[in-house]
Amino acid sequence: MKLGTIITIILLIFGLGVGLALDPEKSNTRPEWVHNLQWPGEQPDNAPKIEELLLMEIVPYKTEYEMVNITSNGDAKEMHVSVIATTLDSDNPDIYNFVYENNELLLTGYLLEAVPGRYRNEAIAIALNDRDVETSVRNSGDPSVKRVLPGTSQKFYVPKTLLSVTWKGISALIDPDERKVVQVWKESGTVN
Amino acid sequence: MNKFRCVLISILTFAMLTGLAASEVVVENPIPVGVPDQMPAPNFTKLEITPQYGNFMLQPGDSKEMTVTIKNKENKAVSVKSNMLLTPYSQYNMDPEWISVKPESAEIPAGGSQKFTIKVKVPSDATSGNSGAQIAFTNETMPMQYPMPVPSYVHVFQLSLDIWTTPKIQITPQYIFDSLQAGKEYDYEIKLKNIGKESINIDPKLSNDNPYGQIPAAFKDDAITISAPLKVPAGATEVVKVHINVPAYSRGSYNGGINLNIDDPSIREYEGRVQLNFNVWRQPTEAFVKSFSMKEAAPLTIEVSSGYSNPYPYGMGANNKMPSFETKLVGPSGNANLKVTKTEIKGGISLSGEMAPWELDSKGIYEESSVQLIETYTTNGLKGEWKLKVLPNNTERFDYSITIGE
Repeated sequence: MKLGTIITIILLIFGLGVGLALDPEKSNTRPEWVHNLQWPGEQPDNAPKIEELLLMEIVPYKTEYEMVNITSNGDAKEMHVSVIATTLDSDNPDIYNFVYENNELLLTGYLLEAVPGRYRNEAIAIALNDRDVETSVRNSGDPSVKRVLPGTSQKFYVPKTLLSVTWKGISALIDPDERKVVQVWKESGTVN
Repeated sequence: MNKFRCVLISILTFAMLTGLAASEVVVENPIPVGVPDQMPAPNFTKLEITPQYGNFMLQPGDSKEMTVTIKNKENKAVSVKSNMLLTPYSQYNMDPEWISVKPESAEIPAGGSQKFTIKVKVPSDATSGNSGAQIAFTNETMPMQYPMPVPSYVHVFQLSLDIWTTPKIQITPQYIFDSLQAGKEYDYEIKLKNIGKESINIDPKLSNDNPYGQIPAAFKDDAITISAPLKVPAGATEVVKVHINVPAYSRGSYNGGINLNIDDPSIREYEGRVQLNFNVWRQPTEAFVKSFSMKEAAPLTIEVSSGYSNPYPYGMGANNKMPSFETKLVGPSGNANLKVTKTEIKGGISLSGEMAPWELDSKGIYEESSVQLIETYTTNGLKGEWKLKVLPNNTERFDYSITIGE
């Protein structure tokens, strides 16, 4: 092979490498716990930036997200971004609401019920170990089990992921690691 | 500090000194006065850390990275340097060597920002547990009234690390929570799946560490029969069968548990327990009767609705209990031909109202809070006396309406 051909091939490989490195789509690395991601509606111009920011904010609870659906509305100045993430081992999704403003993403609300059955059962069992809870929820059916993020839980306990087990009118805040009820709320306003 | 407070403290101090001088009382342990008011107003460096917390859930041997951005909102450059602080609230602590921050330090220009990559790498021999750490980027701390064992840093990133492992035996379910009818029999199954490489012995027994022992149970332990194999082979799923023969005279509740006695040291004691919570439900056997009279023949419409219930299903598996009604209408010519013309499943979604304070972040996101079953029946009504009979199933209350005419 001629020297000129070898140099040309090397330059082509180098050029391809530089090109891939500069490709903005490739720089947006998706974490391994997100299998699929889509924008079912209209995709804003800054979608890659929003994706990059929100993938740092959303994390599944002891499972992986099979599908992450992102929708947005509003203008470039203030955009509301909603994320519905589903898993294979829970019937309920994780829902996150964000506001995207000044190139920053702010979590404004969340409802995280994608808790795998095993951990859901454990949380309910822990809640039922509390005598007050157990006597209050008899014949109340199954409760909801929701994840409470550290930013919220630090107001009530310590900044760590907790689970909230809620029947109508009564809720138990669970520390799943310590296997204990850290607070109980009743609709009457009592917090123990 | 406002002027009024200054004047007040001056008067108090003067009065105290005067009093001390006059009485010649020796105060051995003077109490500091007004410490909080004397603290200087905080003037922290304006740095914005995004996000402010990260929650890493990792298995031993795994690693994860995330990016934290610090924005300098000052008019001058600010130097930051990461400093790892383990939080003392947890019994289990992570090793600071598992966490790296790159770059370790940076000079952030006025109005500029700097990205830091935080990487957590958990060694393969790490044990399960939760722990927390703070990464402080400056040494600025919150002023405290009293000395604190751990300073409260201002510019911090909170890191929560949950190390979890998959247990060798998976237990489903870990609780059985149901309403039972007195005099009936029920069967439940607890599935044990061995995902390990060796056979594991089990010996399920009713656990007598019932914390509610002082409350008389609805029935005795001998109403519950447990049958199970002696072991769960590697890769297999075995079933622990629980049979309950609810005595006819029972009332109240039964709370206890089944200790599966799984011979696996990696299973913590509480993980090998299935909790039992039963409420003995007394299903009415006689229908509710409402008498009414019709002055002339007209179409009759009956609507029966269950009470609002939790959106999650009542009961478990085969014992799943959805509300239902046995409705009869007896008129001058005997039983009327009552047909269900409409079945309605009604839900309620609350966007406001009372909720647990730790769930307030879900306010505004649609969440079904209640479901209701409504059945509508119609027939041709004749002049005379009528009786509506409703026998409800699996609902604690119901409502009815009788509409005469179109």
